[in-house]
Amino acid sequence: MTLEVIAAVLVGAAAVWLVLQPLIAPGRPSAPVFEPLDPEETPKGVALAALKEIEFDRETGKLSDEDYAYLKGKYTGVALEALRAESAEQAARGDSAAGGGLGDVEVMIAARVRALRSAATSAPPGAPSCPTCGPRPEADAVFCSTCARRLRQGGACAGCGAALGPASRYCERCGAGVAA
Amino acid sequence: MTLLGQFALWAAFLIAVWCAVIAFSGRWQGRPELAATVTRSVYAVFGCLVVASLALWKGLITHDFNIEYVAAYTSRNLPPYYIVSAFWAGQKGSLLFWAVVLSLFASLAQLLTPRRNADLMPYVAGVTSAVAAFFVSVMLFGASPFERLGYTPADGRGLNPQLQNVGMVIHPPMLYLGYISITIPFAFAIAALLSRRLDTGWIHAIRKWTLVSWLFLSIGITLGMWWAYVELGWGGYWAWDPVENASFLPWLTMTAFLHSVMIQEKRGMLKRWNLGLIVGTFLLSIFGTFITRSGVIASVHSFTQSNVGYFFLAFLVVAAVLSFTLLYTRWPLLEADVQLESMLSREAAFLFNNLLLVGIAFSVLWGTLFPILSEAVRGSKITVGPPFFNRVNVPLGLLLLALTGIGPLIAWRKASTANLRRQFVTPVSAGAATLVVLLAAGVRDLYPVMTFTLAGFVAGTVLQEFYRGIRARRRMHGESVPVAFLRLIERNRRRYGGYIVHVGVLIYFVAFAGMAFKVEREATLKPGESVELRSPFGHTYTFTQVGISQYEALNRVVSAATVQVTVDGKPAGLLTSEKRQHVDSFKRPTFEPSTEVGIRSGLREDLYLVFAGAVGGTEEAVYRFNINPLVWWVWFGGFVLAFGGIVTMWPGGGPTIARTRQAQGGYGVALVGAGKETDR
Amino acid sequence: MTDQAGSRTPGRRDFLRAGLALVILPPVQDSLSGRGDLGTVRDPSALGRPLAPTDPAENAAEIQAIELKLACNCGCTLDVFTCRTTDFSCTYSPRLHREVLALREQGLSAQQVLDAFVAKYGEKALMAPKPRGFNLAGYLLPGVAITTAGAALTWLISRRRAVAAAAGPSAAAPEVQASDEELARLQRALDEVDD
Repeated sequence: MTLEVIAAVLVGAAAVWLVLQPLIAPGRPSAPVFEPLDPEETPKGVALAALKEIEFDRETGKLSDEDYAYLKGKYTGVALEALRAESAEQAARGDSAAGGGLGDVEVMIAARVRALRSAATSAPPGAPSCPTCGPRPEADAVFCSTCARRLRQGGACAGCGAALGPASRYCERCGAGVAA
Repeated sequence: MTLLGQFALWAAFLIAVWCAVIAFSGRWQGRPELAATVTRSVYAVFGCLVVASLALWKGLITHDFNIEYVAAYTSRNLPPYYIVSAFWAGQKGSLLFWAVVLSLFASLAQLLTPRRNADLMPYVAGVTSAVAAFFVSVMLFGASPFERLGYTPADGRGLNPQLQNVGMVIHPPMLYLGYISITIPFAFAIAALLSRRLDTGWIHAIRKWTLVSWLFLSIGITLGMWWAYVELGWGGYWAWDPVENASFLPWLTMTAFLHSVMIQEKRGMLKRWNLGLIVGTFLLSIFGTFITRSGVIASVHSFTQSNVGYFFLAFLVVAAVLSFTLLYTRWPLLEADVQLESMLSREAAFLFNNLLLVGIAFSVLWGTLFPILSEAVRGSKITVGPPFFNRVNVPLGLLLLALTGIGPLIAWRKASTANLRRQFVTPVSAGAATLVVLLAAGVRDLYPVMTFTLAGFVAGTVLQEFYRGIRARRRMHGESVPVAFLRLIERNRRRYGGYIVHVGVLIYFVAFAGMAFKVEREATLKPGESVELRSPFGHTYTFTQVGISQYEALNRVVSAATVQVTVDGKPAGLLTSEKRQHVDSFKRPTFEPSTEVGIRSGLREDLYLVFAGAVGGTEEAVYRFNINPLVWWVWFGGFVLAFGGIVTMWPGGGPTIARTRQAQGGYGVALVGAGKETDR
Repeated sequence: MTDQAGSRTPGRRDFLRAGLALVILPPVQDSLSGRGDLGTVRDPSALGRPLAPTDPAENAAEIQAIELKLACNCGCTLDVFTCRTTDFSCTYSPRLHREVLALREQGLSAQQVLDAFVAKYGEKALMAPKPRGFNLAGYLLPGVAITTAGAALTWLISRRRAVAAAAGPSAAAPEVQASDEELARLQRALDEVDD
């Protein structure tokens, strides 16, 4: 009986701690990570898969020539549009690897590495931050010296002064939200 | 351990309510610590329910008969595996089982869903927690598995003999897994509606879950048929019993969803319809639970009945009102991207497929509820038995079977006449050839002939699809036949796995049609006397009474009656059916004697022997003999169906876009681009 | 040679043949036990209710056909024939069976027996309600609903198609406006798709 009460108290305490821990001790909330779509689920991927399927359906005799021409034209247009949008995005990002089909994960990892490095070495608190390349060491710069994009001021957490990564919505040291 | 169990239930209930309140308040948006609380609550509820389950299992295993549930469903001499399965054999335990599996699925959904759906997940957690809180509250306020008796019986009542069967150890969990897993797609649907993120994101997130619940439902229903066949002893596997119907309803709507969701993915149509189907499937699964447990409609599943049914009715109404209100308020956001372009397109075929599946679901629901309706309208009680359901549903089923063959032959978007002719020649000839063979063999019964003919047509369709697919791959990629065959399935699992499922379905249909030819007969035989039955396949079976022997087994006294079988005059061994008088550990009888049928299963027909009883305690026995054609094929069809389902949901598959090479290259280039030193 | 065969130790082939015969041939009972005097079982109470021997006449096909159409009222959801040959604790179905036999002995036809049951027990005595009056709704509503919905769907689709046709010939393949460089890039992207 006593043992059971102790077990019940332990279970209850463990459950309550598990649930309330983020509120009581908001130490390290895992920052929401942006996870890109699988390449197959992007507009480009969907259009490419559709083009492949059209070829296959014609080969199996499902599509008449007329329908094939129509669908092929339509989805080629969609695919080209997706490719153009992708290039435009990459150009906007100032990516030297345009056309290489650089995935979002890689951009993220690279940006993250840059942010950590510069934060660890030279970025003073309150330094401006580039949307692509992270916090910059030059306190009075207006444009990024790496990619020439306009810098965002105050790339540091208002709460604890830690440097913020690009597109951070929460400080990764203290968990405070970042005002957009 | 009941104290711990009861405490864990309360903890689970309070945490689940907390989770639902925070989640639906929406305050977690922009506050990661609240979002984290919501997610962690899901895990905490799961932990608490695991503790409660372990507490109940401990009571079962240690024979703590002071616990009402343990005394009601087990006894000291019950075989160990039935003690484990007694967990879900009764009303109260199955509620706990339901709750714990639901919270397991809810935790898996939180863990396994890609992070890009992070802003749906707290809402998902809210819905699953609300459902879990409901189930736990039924236990807390209606039927607690931890209730204690005022005294301790020396031995329990033992498990209902009909539940002492391997089928019963796995059939209910499978079906429950199916029912329960429907909650996850439902939760995503509600989350998408609440957050107004109604693009295809939530559809992708639930793709696997819908397949999982469909697969569990299919396996659960098939196992249920098997259990009914070998254990209930009435000679068949499907009697349109309300509980059977209740499991069939969500299967139908889920099958409809699995088809129509492909149109939404490919063409951006049917968004509202798909949401409605998911919500409807969930409500039907709750409705099924209500039917099973309330006893408002007479059924063979009376062992789980009690007053908790009305909890479910209330929950059903509340869930329905809330879901459909939510759907209504988001209606304008669910505009279709594309409009249908032609009647003869595959989208149209899919629409008619959905219409039929939902129509059959409606018709089954209608038949199930018709006795209540009739009593309310006319005040007279009626029985709505298998003849009614067969009359109404067999034509619909045949239409559906036909569509199974037609749908895959039509291309997306538009199909021309010439193209149709090219597609249909082979399958239609296959159907026609089947018809000719049947007529030549002298089969004249309308429905079976139609079923077999259509089955031939569907088989033709599937074979042609595989043949043309392989041929196309050989031409396009220069692959050998086996490679092309495997790649064909691998690269388009949903289509070709789906075709395997279609094969399973057509096998079911053929097997069901076979039962139209079953032969049954009652006879009283003294030892040495025999009875003759002629089977639909033209064999003559002779059953000669051998005798009755009695012996004691672990928890029962067995009376085994044996007949000798000859086929067309040739001896074919013995067949035994048993009467089992179950006893507790003091040798006191616990239940009415139950009957264990003797079955000899074959590819063509099953011999099915039921020992009704003896005349005046002598070896003169009363039997029912059944010859059931094609029953083996039902179980085989189930295997094929499940295999196709697994192929469809196997991870990976589909055309992949190469990215490993790119990723590495991109990483290096990006670092160079950043102007930092790299060690490439 | 032949007289030695009996004493010869069985060869491997004989052994295999004997084993194979054991596997393939079903076990055959030499003689039937219990022929002659009728044995009694040790514990008749374990067999449930003692039954009366059934007369082949009471299991005639037409009796069975009638009973398959009559519902047992013990709450089993089965018909009289299936219930009385399945659920041996049921006391209703054997009684209903006797009633059927009695009615048949009075010379009633199958339909008259069914009618007599309906007159005595109400409409719920039938496994499926007669398709007339309100019951027709039970039989017809699903079919009517599906047909109506199907017709509505067909109409809707054909109307949309007409509207689309009036809007212009959509069937013409859309012109693809793209430079050679873009098309080459699309081809590269397509080649990267492993299907």
